[in-house]
Amino acid sequence: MNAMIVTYSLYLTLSLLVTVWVARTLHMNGRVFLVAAFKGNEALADSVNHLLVVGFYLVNLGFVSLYLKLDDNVETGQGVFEALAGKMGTVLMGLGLMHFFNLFVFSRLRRNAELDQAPPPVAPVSALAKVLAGAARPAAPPLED
Amino acid sequence: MKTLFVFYDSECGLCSATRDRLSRMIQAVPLVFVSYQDPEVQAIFPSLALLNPGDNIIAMSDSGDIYEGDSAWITILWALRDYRRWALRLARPRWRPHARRIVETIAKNRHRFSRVLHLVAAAGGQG
Repeated sequence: MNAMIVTYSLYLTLSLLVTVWVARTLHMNGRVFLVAAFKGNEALADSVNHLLVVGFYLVNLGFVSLYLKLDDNVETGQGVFEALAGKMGTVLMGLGLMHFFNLFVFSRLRRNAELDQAPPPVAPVSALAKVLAGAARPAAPPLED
Repeated sequence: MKTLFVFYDSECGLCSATRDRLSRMIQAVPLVFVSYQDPEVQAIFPSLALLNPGDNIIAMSDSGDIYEGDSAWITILWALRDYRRWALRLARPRWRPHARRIVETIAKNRHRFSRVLHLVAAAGGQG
């Protein structure tokens, strides 16, 4: 088994492990965001969560396979590490970007859901019942803090 | 809140133009514009006069919560889907006094603004 094959094997194993780890992290910790975003509809949240993780796997594994081929020949033990470091560094950066993008999507979904459910941000100055009862209207309502 | 009634001044060009603009926006809570000068409205809701609708815009929810001036405007923005973020921002203590000052200035000078901008009061909208 030559150094090239060792590099490729290590690259595939490590990339796969890291991808699985990130995807599982997203799957476990993203769920609560999605449940909030879908207003407590857990079935829908789980479904979207699963679909997102499938997409995450496809994009990352696709990238890992496309990026497999080494341009230079690797012949020594030192070369294995150098080539592997270069490849893994890029894969990790890609995973990191995807991860942050996912977080951005999750937080956006949650913010929008919160906005949809937000009550009016100011208190009413009076109520119809009070006006009908002839109560005097406050001249200048105090500002809320 | 299911509906927000907005009592506006239909004799003011700026107010009518604003009503037309707001009517075209996407409403998370439907806005119903009612002219406070409408005799029919005055007959159905005589207590409206107690709220001095000529001084400041009045908004009322279907449950009877009454908002006026800056709080009416913030609630109207809250009812508009794309401006809810602005409503939440303007309601903060940092922005609220500015919102109030601007709303009061415009309300006080609305006829002058209408003249300057050549806006003529026109019936229309939903009220």
